Order: sequence, then structure tokens, then C-alpha cells
Amino acid sequence: MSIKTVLPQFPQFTVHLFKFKNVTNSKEIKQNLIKGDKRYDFSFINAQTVLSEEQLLSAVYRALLDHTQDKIRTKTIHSEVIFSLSPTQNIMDALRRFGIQDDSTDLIVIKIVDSNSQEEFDLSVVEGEEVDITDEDLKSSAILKTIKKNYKLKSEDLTVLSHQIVAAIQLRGL
Amino acid sequence: MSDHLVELAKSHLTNIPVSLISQGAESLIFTTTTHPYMETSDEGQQYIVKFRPPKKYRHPQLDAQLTKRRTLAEARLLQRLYGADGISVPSIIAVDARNGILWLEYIGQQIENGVSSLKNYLWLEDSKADYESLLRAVGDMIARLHQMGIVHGDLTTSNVMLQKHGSQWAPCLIDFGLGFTSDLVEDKAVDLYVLERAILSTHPVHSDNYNSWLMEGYKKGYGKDQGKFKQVMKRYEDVRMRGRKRSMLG
Ligand SMILES: Nc1ncnc2c1ncn2[C@@H]1O[C@H](COP(=O)(O)OP(=O)(O)O)[C@@H](O)[C@H]1O
Ligand SMILES: [Mg+2]
Repeated sequence: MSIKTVLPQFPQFTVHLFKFKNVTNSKEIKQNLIKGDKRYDFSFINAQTVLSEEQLLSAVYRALLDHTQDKIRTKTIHSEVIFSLSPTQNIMDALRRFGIQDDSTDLIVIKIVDSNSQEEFDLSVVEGEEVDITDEDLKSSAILKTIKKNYKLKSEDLTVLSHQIVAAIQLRGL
Repeated sequence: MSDHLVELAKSHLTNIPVSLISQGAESLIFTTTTHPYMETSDEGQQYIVKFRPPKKYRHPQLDAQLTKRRTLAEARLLQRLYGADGISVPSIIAVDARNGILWLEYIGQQIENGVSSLKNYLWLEDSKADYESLLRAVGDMIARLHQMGIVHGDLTTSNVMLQKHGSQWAPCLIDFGLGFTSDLVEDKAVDLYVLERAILSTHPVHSDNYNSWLMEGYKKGYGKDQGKFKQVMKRYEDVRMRGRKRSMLG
């Protein structure tokens, strides 16, 4: 169902990716996020803005690289992943575009934990149905028009589009 | 000889088993079967890691800046070109600019005499009925590159890789390490001249044919914009003349 992976260059971190549909409490999640409630320490991503697993993991890679080089721009690794999805340097704008919205029903949730401690986490804060997170599932909730607008891209070929998104993520602000 | 540079690259590539395939003045090129973030499903899939090592003779801080800038310059050109109409370049997989590392899609495959570069392929000479269409395609692609205001800067036959599209070979341009943006006819003419010389030096017998196919493709690549094509051609003749004079004197 979900994906659990360790990026070879960052063995100290274990990355979990989940996808939900029919989420009913996005507004509540967002409020608790803003309050800084520890139980909400995840990346909550608006699934409509995500086309591929490659897009997500490339943002995770960017966030972990910047983190290990002491270059992260946001407060936590989880907000940094959302910022890393963005092609621009504006953090507020990135969180607004790629992060959870009050009315989000399709969510991607990412948790990055210390591989040694394997800390426990509780996903019951999300009220919704967990679904698979293959490229096919991601495409089914992706809104291409929004994605193309976010990245200022226009390719009709989704493989090309996904590769162009990766380049935008890797090169943001550099 | 370059062992310490290989070790240095590896220190930035924890858990990535790499093999050195080429070493130039600017960079070391490695292949790996480990993707930096995707769990590869495709066995035997390879990726390119291009590493620009620090240069000892430069001030460390200045050197770090230059390395970062050059890595990014190459990456940005690839970003602009990837997906553009009629142009093929490797896609970017990951960038660690601070360490001078660029991860790229692997282009090409093994052929009888090595990797499928234009250089190796043209060496096979016999029975290659597709040289004409291939060289036209190369010319066409360079024209499109130039029309986008980008100059390759090192158009040798090793920097044109060939990829199988179905049963046909199609060109893919690599190595934008010396590339830059320019709209000057001079820069474009020199780009072409460099490729012409590269073909001439490896294939003196057939180079006339090869170069005329290349030029025909280059002309076609300008589409309706034949005025621009003629300007480049005119300058190209000048560049050739200068080249000839230089070799007569030299
Ligand atoms: N994306 C790629 N796919 C396949 N082979 C590549 C790729 N990039 C580089 N190479 C191989 O490595 C060699 C050197 O790489 P290049 O980028 O041209 O560096 P240099 O600046 O040292 O010439 C190329 O001639 C080619 O054989
Ligand atoms: Mg080269």
C-alpha cells in the first residue's frame, strides 16, 4: 500500500509515503499544523499537484540533500519537502500551492524518521481512506492543468513532463 | 593517477557503487546502476554521474564557486533543451551543485566498437545505409539548438550520442559543459565548423558526403527562417577560410 524507502545516500533516514482519498478533516489538520502540534509532524501534500512518484521522491532527495548540507530554508524536514516540490523560492507560495488546503480530499502524507530510532508515528490524525501510491494512483488524482501552471510547463507527454518537473525541483533557487 | 579524485567523488556518493568511464580536464564521468531516489525496477538500467572535482591551483572558495556555477550552467542548458521540439538531450535526475555533481539519464548502448556515439558509429563505415538520414537529423537538431539561442561549444562526434528509436538511430546531444547562450552568427558558425573538422579528421574519405548531409539537415532545421540560415552559412564560409589560412601558415 504505502511506500517505505531509504535513499542510498541518506541511510540515516527512512522515508514513508502514504496516499489518502475522501479525506474529511483537512481543515482540522491544517489548523493543528499551524499550531505546531507534534502529532501533525508530517508533510501533508495536496495530491492534485503531484504527477508521479519521481516528482515526490526527487523533492525528498532535494530536502535531504539540503538538510545534510545545512541549507534548509524552512523549519522542519517535513515542511522542507513541500518547499522542495516548488520551482520557486517563495516559501509561503510553495506551502499554499503544494501543501494541504482546507478542502483537500486527496492527500499525500510523508513521514521521514531516523533510521536508528525507528520512532513510531500515528496516522490516525488523517480521516480518510488509505489507497495505493503507484504512478497510476497519483495520476488519477493529479490535475494536469494545475501542475503545468505550477511549473510553467506545457508538455503533453507525461514522461517528459515528469522529467521536466524533476529538473525544476533539483534546480530551484540555485 | 586520478585515484584520489575517484575517492573524493565516492565520498559525496555514499552507498552509490560507481564505475569511472571517462576522465576529461573538467570532469569525471561515472556510471551506476543505483538510482539516487527511485527503486529501480529495470535491471541493467544505468545512470550517469558527472563530477567536477576541485582544482588545487585555485583558491578554495573561488574554486567552490566556479565548480557550482559550471555545474549549474550545464544543468540549466539541459533543462532548457529537454523536451524542446526536435531536440534530444539527457534528462536531469539530480543535482548536487555544491559538490559539483550532476546525475543524468544514460544515453545510448553498446555497439560493435564501443558506445553508440556518432564517432564510433561512423567508424563502422561498411553497409550503413542510414548515415545520410542520421547526419541530416544531426544537422536538423543543431539548427534547432541554434535557433533557441544556444551554442554547444564542443560539438565533437563523441558528444553526439545515438539512441535506438525502434529500429532507427536518433541523435542525442550530450556534454553542454562548454555550452552557452548566444545569438551571434559567429558562435553558431564556429559550432558547425568544429563538427565539420571532427568528421573530416576521422573520416577523410567520406567527409564531403557526410558534411553535405549535415548541412542539408542544418538548412532544413531552420524551417521558414531561411534568412537566419543564410547568415550563418555566410559566416561559416568565412570561418572555414580562416581555418584554411591558419593551416596553410601553420
Ligand atoms: N548522458 C550520458 N549518457 C551516456 N554516456 C555519457 C553521458 N554523458 C557522458 N557520457 C560519456 O562520457 C563521456 C564524457 O562525458 P562528457 O560529458 O562529454 O564530459 P567531458 O567534458 O569530459 O567530455 C562522453 O563522451 C560519453 O561517452
Ligand atoms: Mg565530451
